[in-house]
Amino acid sequence: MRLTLNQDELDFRAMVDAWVQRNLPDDLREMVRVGEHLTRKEFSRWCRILDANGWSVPAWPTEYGGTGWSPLRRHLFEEQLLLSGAPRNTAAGIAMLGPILIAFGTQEQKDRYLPPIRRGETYWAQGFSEPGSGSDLATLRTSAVRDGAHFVVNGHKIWTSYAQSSEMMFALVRTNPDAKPQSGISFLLIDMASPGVKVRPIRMVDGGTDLNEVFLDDVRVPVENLIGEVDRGWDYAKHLLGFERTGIAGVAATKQQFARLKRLMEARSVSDALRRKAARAEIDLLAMDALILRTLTENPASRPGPEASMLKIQGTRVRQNVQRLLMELAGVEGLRHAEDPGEAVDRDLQWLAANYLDSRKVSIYGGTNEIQANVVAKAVLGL
Amino acid sequence: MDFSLSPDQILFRDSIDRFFTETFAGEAGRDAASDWKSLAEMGLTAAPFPESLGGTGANAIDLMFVANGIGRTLAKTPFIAGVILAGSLLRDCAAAPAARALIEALASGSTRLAFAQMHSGSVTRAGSGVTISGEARIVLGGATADMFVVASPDRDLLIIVDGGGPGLRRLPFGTLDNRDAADLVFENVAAAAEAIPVRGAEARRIIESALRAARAAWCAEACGAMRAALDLTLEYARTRKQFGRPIGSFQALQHRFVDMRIAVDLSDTLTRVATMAVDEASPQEAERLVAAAAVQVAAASRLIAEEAIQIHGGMGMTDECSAGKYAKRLMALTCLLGSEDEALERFLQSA
Ligand SMILES: Cc1cc2nc3c(=O)[nH]c(=O)nc-3n(C[C@H](O)[C@H](O)[C@H](O)COP(=O)(O)OP(=O)(O)OC[C@H]3O[C@@H](n4cnc5c(N)ncnc54)[C@H](O)[C@@H]3O)c2cc1C
Repeated sequence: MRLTLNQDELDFRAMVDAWVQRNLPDDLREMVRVGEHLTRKEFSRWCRILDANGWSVPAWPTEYGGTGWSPLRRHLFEEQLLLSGAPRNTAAGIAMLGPILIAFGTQEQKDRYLPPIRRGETYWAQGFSEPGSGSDLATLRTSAVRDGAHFVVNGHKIWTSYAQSSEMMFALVRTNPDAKPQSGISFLLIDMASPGVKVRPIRMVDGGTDLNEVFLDDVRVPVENLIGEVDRGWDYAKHLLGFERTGIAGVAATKQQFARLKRLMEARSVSDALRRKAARAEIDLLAMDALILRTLTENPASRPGPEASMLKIQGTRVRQNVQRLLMELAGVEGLRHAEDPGEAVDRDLQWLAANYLDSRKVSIYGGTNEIQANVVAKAVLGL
Repeated sequence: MDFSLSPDQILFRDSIDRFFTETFAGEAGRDAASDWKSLAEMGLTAAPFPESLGGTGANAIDLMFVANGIGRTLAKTPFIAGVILAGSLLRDCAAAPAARALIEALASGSTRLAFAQMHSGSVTRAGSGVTISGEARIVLGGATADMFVVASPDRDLLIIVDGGGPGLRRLPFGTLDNRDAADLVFENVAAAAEAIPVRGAEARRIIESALRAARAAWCAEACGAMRAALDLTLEYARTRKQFGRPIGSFQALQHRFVDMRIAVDLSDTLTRVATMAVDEASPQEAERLVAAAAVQVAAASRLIAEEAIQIHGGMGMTDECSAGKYAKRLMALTCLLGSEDEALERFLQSA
């Protein structure tokens, strides 16, 4: 055991920070600083800048543009990017589809889809959830029926982040209605420009525009867009769930937001009560951060397991608490609508209420915290 | 303590409930002017004034029912700031002719009022009147008000200012819960001596008392919103099915609902205590109890807002879903009331 990072790791972080300071465009930096909504446009732009330095897909194998870093180094990298004021680079294509293609895709699929994701040129949406199938995803009903060289897809996806600005969507579809729910699902890649795909954006509670409904009406998907084998899609999707065992806790984003809280607290007079609560949050964050580093270093070779669900539960709690404190710091100024805040608004405070509202999503998406707790109770605690 | 309502109070409460359900439920086609007209027709713009001033002589408990209705139906009207707060100010200095004239205009519904607390700048003597320069931030209803009741930065003057007068600039904005508000900039705004209905310690006393009444009413508005948010989330849990059963059948959620219900009941009860105190207790005791209610309400508001969204799942994150609308109303009210800590501080100060 050793308390601090070693010199090599510290140098690495300093190097990443220096690079961000040189390469992060001012307008993006400002958007992140004040917590403005980012869209595909900004994310793709930042991805292209990272790619120019070979850093857009650090977790992928080196042959597809990955960095070959250890999980610890990747963690330090992702954290430093955010701490240095950069936007996150966690598009579904990079974080979800990439690993699945790499594990289960054909060579052709990899060659075709991975490079443009890496370069920030194509954007992917994740079409899993449906109106009737959220927590109980395995009951999904969107159907795909084989017709010659195509699957014909019919159904209705919802909560599909960034579908309105994505070129492609990876979707779970039912190919065998007679099998057990988990066994009749396939993993398909759908071109959003196909006839029969209709996207309806859903305005979010904080004014954000990430979410969409996707209607699929006799959409013809070439059979070469199937990942792996037919009816095995659930297994591929599950591979994803445990893939990033530590990223799911979102500690890097929380650190970024905590740094923002500290900066704002220094710049204005705040109550002792808020200071104490911020200190308490800092301790939660310290503990969370240490737990992540422990997970990464104690037993680096272990496969991610259901313990990751605990990281998600606690990680999202800490995140939401920091966002709550930021909202509290805004005080009565938090009353302004971020999109109609008036001329006299203090730009540092403008987005805090919206950011608080937006932070409510982290305990819902990627499997709600209740579902994560069910997993832990059963698979970790044996209850 | 006696929480029983008189037959008259029950009648009034029921008629107010009906009024809000019929008039304000659903946002379509409503604007500030039509809201105000409806409130005036119902006699509510005259509510805080005694009959001798042409009012209906409503007490704080009556106004609490109105505030409950605003929260429950998410009505956008700035009634609490415009009538309860600004109206109480005028009522308490009704001996001054300018205040009395404005009471009539407010009660009849012909004039909309807003209260503006200056945060910076100064009010200087000019002849027998004053000149106002400075800023008042976050004036509720400030974008649509016809007249302002302005408190000087140190609250030793209350000044009636025409919303269309020279030197006054409004910077309108929308609130988190889509209500109208404005920041005001005063540039050498002249006010005659007659436009200053009260000064000095008496002004401070009146302002504090009106703010207390408003805080009690904001607590009541939050209680109305919390109760509605809880009801609609319960309804969702009864109907939304996952894993072949209503999500409300999962014990993990059931127990959380129980906690929510306890929090709402406590808030509502303490708000009633605070509201009675506004009418009956000494200023110090009223301040203490209103602060206590605000602490309870701030904590419960956060719980209800967050749980309502969480239990709605993805739906809860959408703008169409009422859970988020209630959450935003509750957040906005917490901004006005001050956080749990700020209210706790007021409680300590007044103990
Ligand atoms: C911002 C955001 C982005 C998203 N992006 C995507 C995306 O890109 N692609 C995609 O496919 N999906 C996406 N989702 C969907 C997300 O995965 C689902 O919202 C989530 O799985 C919950 O499903 P649901 O919304 O249907 O809620 P429900 O499953 O209906 O759950 C409602 C409530 O019931 C609780 N509950 C359900 N079952 C149980 C149980 N057994 N025990 C206790 N409590 C239970 C839940 O925890 C929740 O609180 C996104 C969601 C959000 C909010």
